[in-house]
Amino acid sequence: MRNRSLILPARLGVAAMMLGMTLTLSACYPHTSSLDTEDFDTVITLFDPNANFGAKLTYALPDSVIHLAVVNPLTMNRQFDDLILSEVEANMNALGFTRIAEPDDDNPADVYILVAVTSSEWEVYREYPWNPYWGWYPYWPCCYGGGWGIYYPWYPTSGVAYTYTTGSVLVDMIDPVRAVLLDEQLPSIWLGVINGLLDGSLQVNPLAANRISQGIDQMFNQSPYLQKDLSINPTGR
Amino acid sequence: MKHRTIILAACLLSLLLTTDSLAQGKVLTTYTYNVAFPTGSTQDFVDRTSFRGLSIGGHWFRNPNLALSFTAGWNVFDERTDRLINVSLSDLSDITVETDAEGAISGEQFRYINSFPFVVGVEYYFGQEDDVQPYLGLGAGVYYTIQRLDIGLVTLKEDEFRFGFSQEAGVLIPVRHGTSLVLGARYDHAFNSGNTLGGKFDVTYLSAKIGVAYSFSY
Repeated sequence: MRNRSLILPARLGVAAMMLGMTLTLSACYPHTSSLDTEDFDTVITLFDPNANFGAKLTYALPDSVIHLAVVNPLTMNRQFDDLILSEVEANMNALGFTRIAEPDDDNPADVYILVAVTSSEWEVYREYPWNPYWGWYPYWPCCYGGGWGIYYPWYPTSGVAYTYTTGSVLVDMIDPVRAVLLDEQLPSIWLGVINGLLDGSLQVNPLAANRISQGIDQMFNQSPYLQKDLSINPTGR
Repeated sequence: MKHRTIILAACLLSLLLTTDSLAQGKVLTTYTYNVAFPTGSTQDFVDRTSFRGLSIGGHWFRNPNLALSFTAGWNVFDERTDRLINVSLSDLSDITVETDAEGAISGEQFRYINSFPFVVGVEYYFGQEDDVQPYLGLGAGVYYTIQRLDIGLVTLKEDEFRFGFSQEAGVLIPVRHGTSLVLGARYDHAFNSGNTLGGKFDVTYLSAKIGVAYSFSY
């Protein structure tokens, strides 16, 4: 039985199936749009669930940022140190903590904040099989006949290499009360890390300051257990 | 639900083995485009409809209404999101140091699940050939799944073979002799068999299918 009224739906069915094949076979991992540098930023926070954050009311913050293993000082210089410290201070205050400017034995802080930055350089090689020899056109360059080839005694295969640099901002919350005196160790009860790409324009890119600022805000936003007063927005913004 | 499915499949299989076979054999081949909707824990990982799916099938009729089938398919679930990921280091098997630290990870993420079902089943077609034929089907087989999470500069990936089953209902609408339009809905359930990103979960989804079917007699 031939149903002429269904020929068009059947053709649409074939078209839909072909469209499905095209879409499916076009990518196992489709990306809907290109990525910007800031899209690679991640914020990681870890905390000790056994720590009594409710009892921690005061903090001390140094006036400098530690630079750890910086690969390229041009891309990780100290131009953002003040911004980092001010952002951490603003977030801690907004959470309800009180800063002690000069902690000592008579007036210790409940927690000590340490801030550090670091960078790493990553190298990637992509290799292709390559016959290291190929024939030259006879008589070019001058005086060498056909059959001469080029070889690379120092690098047997060709390749494409690229490098990228990543940077991290680390904010560590130390609990001095739980210090392990025998091992001379101070336990961290909370750690926040921002990690992202360092592009060459870090020095002049005004967006870089925004990335750092937003990253530090996010550290504290995703740590609600640090909040002292639930009626206050963690960033106060 | 799993036990009822097995019992129903056994009943259909016994019907298939005891009914008279066709004097002439008939084979139906189907080619469909599938739109899939993640369900359950799968939806927790990728909460987005998949518009990238297809399947092909071969259906051998033992009698005018009952067929053995083999279908293979592919569905791609993908989602771009910035949802917060809560972590507990004590749940991570790769951690060698005992710790009960907890935390969270945020950042732009691309989440993917590729599902490749290879299912053998039984189908019952109501009515007569060359008429509109609703059908029901049950199947079981192997699912190959690839789960991937891209976050920041890190890619996490888990792939595994899983046992699973499918249930399907649809209709064949004849267009001309030997050619039919296929419309159907199918539920796939692939059981967890190892480590998965985001905790152990079954891969489950509901698909809407549209395509064509060609029948051949031999």
